Amino acid sequence: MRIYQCHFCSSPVYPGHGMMFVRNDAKEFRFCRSKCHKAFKQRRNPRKLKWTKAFRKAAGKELAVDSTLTFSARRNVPVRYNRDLVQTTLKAMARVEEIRAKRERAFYKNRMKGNKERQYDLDKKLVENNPELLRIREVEIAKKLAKEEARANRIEQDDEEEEEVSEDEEMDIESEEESEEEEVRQRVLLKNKRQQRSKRVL
Amino acid sequence: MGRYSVKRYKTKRRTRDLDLIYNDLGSKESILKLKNQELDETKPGMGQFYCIHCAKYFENEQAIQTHYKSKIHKRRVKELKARPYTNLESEAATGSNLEKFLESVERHKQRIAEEELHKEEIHNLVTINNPKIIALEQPTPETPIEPLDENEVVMK
Repeated sequence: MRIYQCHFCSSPVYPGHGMMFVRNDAKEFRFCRSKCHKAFKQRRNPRKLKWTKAFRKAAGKELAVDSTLTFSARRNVPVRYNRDLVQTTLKAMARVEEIRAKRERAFYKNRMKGNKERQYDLDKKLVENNPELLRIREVEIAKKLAKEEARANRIEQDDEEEEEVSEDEEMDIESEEESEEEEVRQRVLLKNKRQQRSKRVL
Repeated sequence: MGRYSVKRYKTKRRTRDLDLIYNDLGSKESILKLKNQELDETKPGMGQFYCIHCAKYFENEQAIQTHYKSKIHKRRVKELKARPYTNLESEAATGSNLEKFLESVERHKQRIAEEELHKEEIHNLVTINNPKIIALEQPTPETPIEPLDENEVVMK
């Protein structure tokens, strides 16, 4: 069993997955899914599509050239079986993978270094160039405060003048009463149902 | 066909890929071979007016000359300047066959440098469409090459 790489996005293609296109010069192209196959047929350049591995490597988003990546290669000379060799290879595979992961992590951290400061500078610049942005914030805060004050005042007024009810509030109460009536009806219906059930059981 | 037509992308209608055209343009012999094709009734213009960049046959001299001035041709020429995407690159992206891939990158760089030196010569080779002219020119470069090869064989 061999796991191939997708020609387009470089993801693994397991047996029974995806499809293969054989060009008329007998070159094989394997695709992991129809998305990649379609893109290939449309002659898209994988180096220019952000979701492919080729893009990420070409654009310097990932570790592309490294000594840990040179071990896996197609060797056209068969190697004679040797118990010790297999053992050491297995050991080396784990170790190489470990080192690779470490280097990749370091590469990522290095790439992301200084992002916070850069973003902070950009924000600062934005605010300096557009001072109205800060004023908008002030206006928002002022509006919020005004609203809260108004609400507090209203509550006080309600406490003082409970009997005086505005028209809107009356409407509200009416609707509430209606809903209450409906609830009562439903309750009655439920009771009736239960009674019927109990009768049936009996 | 409109801007987007599925018909165009059917595998049945697949045209020559960029990496193959890249190889076609790679050596003088292959360019001359494509430019001096035998008379073929099944091809447009008897197969005498072939644009290597676009892998397309034309009816006559005028048609191919206007094609060379067209946007489509110029775009294709620009695309062919970059290293074509091959399976090697997709494999290298997962970390296998990386050394082979780096070799191919190196080869491409060398090729670009060489092309820069013989820019006009290559341009003439590719755009001269009268095969007879090339046929006349052909013996001159080939004759000095052949004895050299023989000498090498003798030396070995």
